[in-house]
Amino acid sequence: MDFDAIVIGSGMSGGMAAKELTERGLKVLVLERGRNIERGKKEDQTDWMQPWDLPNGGNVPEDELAADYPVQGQCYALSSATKHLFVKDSEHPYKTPEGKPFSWIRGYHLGGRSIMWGRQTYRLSQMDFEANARDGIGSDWPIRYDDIAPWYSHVENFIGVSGSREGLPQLPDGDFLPPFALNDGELAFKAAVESRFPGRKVIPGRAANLSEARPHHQELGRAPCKVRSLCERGCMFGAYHSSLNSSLPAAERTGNLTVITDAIVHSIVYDPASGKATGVQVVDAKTKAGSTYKAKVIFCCASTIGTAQILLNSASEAMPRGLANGSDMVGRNLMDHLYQMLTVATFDNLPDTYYFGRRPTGFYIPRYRNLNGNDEPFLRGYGFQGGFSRKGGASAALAQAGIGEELKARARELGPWTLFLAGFGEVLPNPENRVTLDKSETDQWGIPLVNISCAFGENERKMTETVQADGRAMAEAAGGTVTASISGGSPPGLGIHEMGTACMGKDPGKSVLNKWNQTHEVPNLFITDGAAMASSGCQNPSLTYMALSARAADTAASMLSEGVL
Amino acid sequence: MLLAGAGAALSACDAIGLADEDSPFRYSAEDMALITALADRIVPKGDSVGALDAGVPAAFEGLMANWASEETRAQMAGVLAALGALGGGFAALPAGEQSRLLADYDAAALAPAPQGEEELFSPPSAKDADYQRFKQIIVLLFYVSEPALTHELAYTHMPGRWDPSIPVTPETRPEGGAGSF
Ligand SMILES: Cc1cc2nc3c(=O)[nH]c(=O)nc-3n(C[C@H](O)[C@H](O)[C@H](O)COP(=O)(O)OP(=O)(O)OC[C@H]3O[C@@H](n4cnc5c(N)ncnc54)[C@H](O)[C@@H]3O)c2cc1C
Repeated sequence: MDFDAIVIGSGMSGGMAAKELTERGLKVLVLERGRNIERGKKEDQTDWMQPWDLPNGGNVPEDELAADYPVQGQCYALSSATKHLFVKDSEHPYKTPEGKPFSWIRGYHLGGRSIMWGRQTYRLSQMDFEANARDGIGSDWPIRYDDIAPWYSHVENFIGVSGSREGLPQLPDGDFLPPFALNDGELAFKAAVESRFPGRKVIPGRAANLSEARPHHQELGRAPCKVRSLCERGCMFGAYHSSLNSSLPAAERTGNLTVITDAIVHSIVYDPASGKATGVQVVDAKTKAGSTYKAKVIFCCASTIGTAQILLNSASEAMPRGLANGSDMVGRNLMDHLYQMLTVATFDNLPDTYYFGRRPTGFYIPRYRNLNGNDEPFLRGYGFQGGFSRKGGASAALAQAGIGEELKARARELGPWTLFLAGFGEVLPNPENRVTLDKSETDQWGIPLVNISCAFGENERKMTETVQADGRAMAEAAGGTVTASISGGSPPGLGIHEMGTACMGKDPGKSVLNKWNQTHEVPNLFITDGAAMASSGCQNPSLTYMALSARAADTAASMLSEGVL
Repeated sequence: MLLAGAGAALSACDAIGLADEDSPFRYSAEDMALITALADRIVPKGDSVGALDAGVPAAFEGLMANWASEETRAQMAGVLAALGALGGGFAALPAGEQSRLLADYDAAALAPAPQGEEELFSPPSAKDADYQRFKQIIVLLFYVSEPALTHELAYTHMPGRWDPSIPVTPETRPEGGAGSF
């Protein structure tokens, strides 16, 4: 069977592309390399587990962790209740140069990492889309904020994003559901930070969780968030956005969707006569049998590194360097966010109150550095995610020596307000940070392994210092005592915001994609995952991938109907 | 419906409580008596629930069978040998004597021993890291159990709402959940 469109990958961007294409009447085939999983099926989604149901109290067996999850185990979300949602590193190897680690955190199954994501949802701003042009770095984005703004609204409205309207130019407001309000610790922190540091704001974290389910959410079987904060295990209520909860069901109800799982796209087939891609070659993950699927349009949404792998592996006589890689930019400019820049502080000057429920987000401090030009020793900026909580229980019991009733009494006591502050910094595009195909080794499906060579540079090092100094200053200004300040240890990739390997740009000689996410060289090939990003901003990027996917799908559908493709 | 059904369907060998049937690892009766005494002294029942109500000794054995590496098992064996020798045979001593000896041992073993940068989510480094880990496992096993989360701490699986500010009363208990060993 031939399709109008093939979407490679069913994760955050592929799910959205499939929804938008099917809703425009296109017959769409989604090819997903991982297995099928279902919302609400107890083996696939473990949000039903009470703490005492968790195998080994939530801990992955030590030998298994070391053998199968040495990289994935670095991700905070890996536990005995979620390990089936992460790849086994032992089965899905990749290479990095000696002394240059890169943590590639992945989930191969229907829905990709949209199942486990942290749901923090922020727009990029005009400043971000202008950054490369202003600084003369990387590829100038071929779009500006106004081009994407309506698509941000479109996606936000569909997925449901809780948040507050703040009127900040560096973090544009969206079409929000009610925010999850700040608790008393956070309100006091907000007051202290905003009065002591003009220009800084502490706002409720914007999250793709339904604080309220509107009729169009309910139509897809989605219910309001139950405030459990078990989201990375899946949600039987469909209360957070994932491909399983929203985009794929929306695509499915059009009657235009076909999904094939366990279908690993090996390469995209290019026809030099027409100058177009004609289809894709697939290896069955279980039987390893090969097959070919054809379509008029192809959307590559296999995630930043997966997409680079497919393009490079699609080299042909006509395009020896890889498909759509005349610019030699495929695989280059790999970025992530600076991550694991942590400040922890305790407070004894805050109201003796508590909160009820486990809100699926915390607070956010939008970027405040270099807003009006460059007046720091580094380019670009950073934001913070954080939250205040009051601990007790096991951690209080273990904080000092003592056994018996004394230990139990300590555990029962509500601990002091504790601040957790985590910086996320922008990383500059650097063509030397790149993904290539290994020349000697293939995986068990005959696909060359990727080689990932990526390191942070001087700009990132300078930024990290300021992030940590700012974290401490804000905690102390609010009356806190810093108990931990940790930075610098995390390898690129662990921010799980990898992007940039097929950047958008105005110049076909220096970029892979045009302003519609269409490859400069192969007009019916669109790339709408993180690979498309020309710069990284410091905001969590998935909303932008989805907005680009929806926008490109709209364009592709129009081009098809106009006979342009 | 899903909640109840799914919870009930979880097989006992997957749960934290018991060693997998196909795991050869088991403690001897003597070791289990020691582990039971230690767990009971560390988290006694008092006037609510303690380690024995939560099945911590069997859960500890289960964890060693299903989760621990050889290295961890050896580490725990060393701790058990040291603790078992206290007072010339810890398990046979009267409870009061056990508590006194263990409290002294605990205080000496957990004397702070800062080792550069601290782990963010772990207790401060102590003189006897092996004992510290043993105690941590016993305590975490207790506080992740249903009896502890329903009697000693608070846990609501399905809060259903977010209330950003509630008053603290004498009945207020911190929210509990899972932790890492
Ligand atoms: C724990 C965690 C927390 C996160 N928190 C946030 C957050 O708070 N906010 C945020 O914005 N982002 C967050 N992210 C990142 C977010 O998940 C990713 O940005 C997003 O999922 C990327 O979308 P994607 O479509 O590019 O890739 P994915 O969602 O990973 O989907 C790619 C899909 O393609 C499939 N695939 C790959 N190769 C092939 C192939 N050759 N053939 C067929 N199929 C293929 C994969 O199996 C996968 O299903 C988080 C991620 C994790 C893991």
